[in-house]
Amino acid sequence: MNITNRTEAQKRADDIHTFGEELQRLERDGVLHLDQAQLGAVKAHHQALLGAFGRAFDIDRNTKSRQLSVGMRIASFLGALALAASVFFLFYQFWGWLTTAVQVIILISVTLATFLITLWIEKKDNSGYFAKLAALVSFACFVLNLVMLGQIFNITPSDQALLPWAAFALLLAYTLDLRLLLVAGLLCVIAFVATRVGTWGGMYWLDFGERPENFLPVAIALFFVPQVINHRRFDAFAPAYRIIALLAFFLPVLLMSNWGASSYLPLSPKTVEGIYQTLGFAGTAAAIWYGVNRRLNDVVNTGVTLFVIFLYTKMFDWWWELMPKYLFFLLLGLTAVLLLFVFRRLRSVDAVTANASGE
Amino acid sequence: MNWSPTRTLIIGLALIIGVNLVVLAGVFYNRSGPAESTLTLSERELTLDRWRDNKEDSSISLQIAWRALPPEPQTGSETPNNSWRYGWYQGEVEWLNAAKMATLGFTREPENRFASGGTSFGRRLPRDVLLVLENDGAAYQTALARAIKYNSGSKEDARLLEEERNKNSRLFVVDAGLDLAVLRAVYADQRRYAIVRGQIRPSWNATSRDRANDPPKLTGMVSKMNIDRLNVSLELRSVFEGMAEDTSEDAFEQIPPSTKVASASKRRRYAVDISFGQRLEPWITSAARK
Repeated sequence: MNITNRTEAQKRADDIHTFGEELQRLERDGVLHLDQAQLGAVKAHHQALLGAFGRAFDIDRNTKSRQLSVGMRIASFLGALALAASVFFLFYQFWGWLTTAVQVIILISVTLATFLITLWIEKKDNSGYFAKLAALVSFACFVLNLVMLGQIFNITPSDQALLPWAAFALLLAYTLDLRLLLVAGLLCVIAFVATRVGTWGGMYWLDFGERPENFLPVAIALFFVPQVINHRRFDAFAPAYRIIALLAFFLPVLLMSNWGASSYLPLSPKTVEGIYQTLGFAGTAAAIWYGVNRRLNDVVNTGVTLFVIFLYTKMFDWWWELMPKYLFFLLLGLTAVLLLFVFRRLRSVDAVTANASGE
Repeated sequence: MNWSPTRTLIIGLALIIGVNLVVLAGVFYNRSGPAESTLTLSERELTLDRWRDNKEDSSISLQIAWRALPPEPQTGSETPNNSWRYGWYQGEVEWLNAAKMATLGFTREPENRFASGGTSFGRRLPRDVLLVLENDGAAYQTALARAIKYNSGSKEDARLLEEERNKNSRLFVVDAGLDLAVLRAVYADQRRYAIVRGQIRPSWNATSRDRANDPPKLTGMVSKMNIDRLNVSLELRSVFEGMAEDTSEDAFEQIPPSTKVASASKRRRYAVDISFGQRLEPWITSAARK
């Protein structure tokens, strides 16, 4: 098995630990007994693998290490947010006292400096946490760079700024295997395409959110990106694409299923709402089916969450005013129980299929 | 796909430097050659921006206070004295009728949902257009004449007239179009008329309560100027420093900046020359205290 990213390495390490524990149980129960030579060979092979994973991917070798990793990830994220905010407020605090030339030089050089520092840290930092923190600060500096140039020179706000932001975020994300910047880049891409679709219809670009259908084409395209471009090397990038795409598709659908007047469709708002309610239920059900078939947990979980939101929204529309509150919440609870039965049934069918195929 | 550090370094540097060069080239182009128009405005038209007046932001900026002339109130109107103050509520504009809206691309008639039992018209989204700003011209004289005409002698009317004479902005949006050359041919005086980018939002004007059979007519309102805030550079900062704003009107804080009409007690403390360049983006060319 060719390990290409941290997630795969971590999974293999976990499998090795599980295997060791199960082997001990089998020996204790007298089911299996390996001689010392075989045991030694397996142990040496596993130690070599774990050592290689540790050097290449800085994996967590035990539960304590994993808990500390989660803490480091949270600290890295919060630190990046705080540092980005600090850069932002630092510039605002003093920029009024700088000449225009100095303002421009500072904005560009800080972006360049944080970018170079990010790449330098990436070489030195095996864990990747510090490089990721620096990358987020660098992206924030680039955003600040263009926003402030717009303010300094009274430039007309433009959606075209979203493109370089997206490019920079994706560049750093793919270099550092950084999901947060991947999400930032994808959001910029979604916003840019939505504004373009809107402006082709004569709309002012900042009003792009008023026509939720603008988001649908780019959401569909993004969903299939991981199928066209292999993302195996990158840690959970494919699920990030699919989850963002599903949200970018179904949240506008949810909006239009309750606010038909925002649609391009030349139909009455009630008809539009009916169409998008149907699309919401059918689409999320299709997403769950697709996820189960392709064994994509991210698609199944996002689909289920969105399906429940659609269902609860519709129930609220139908029954909130008509029913006493205890009855309304009782129905919600019973619906949840019904969904549990449905999913248990799906799971048992899946288990039978897996057994039959010998998985 | 090979995301080696060297490749990332080259692409990243090219992206940062390239994008900044494109932005700065745009600024250079906007400010190159003779300005498309130049206006000399006072504090009545350019208010010190209070919205960013905080300790965390050391910059100074000026807010363009623009207005548009609404139709003259009908006889018997409930509030004849106030209805000319367009900029406060973005209502109907005198010259923005159905014919003008058609020339701006608003060709679709309102969808009459009342006929099928609905309670509203279709969606109304603004479009990006060119707006003609007139400084201290006929539109302001009309507004002043109306203030005089509707002055009943009451204290409130006297105050409104006084504001129109000495405080309110004289910068009016007087026309809109899609072609710069056509607009400039009509409004040739580049020291009085500036052409800027802004937005017109469609609206419907009801003349009858029977909306199913007599639906409202298409009209419009000026909803926004794309650039209505001007940055003051360090070189001109001294002109505006120390000008504490009049805080006597608490309500002033509640008025959106894009529609704010100058309301402080001293409204002629400075004169500012603004140029609008090739891309119709403004910048302050000079400023002096009066």
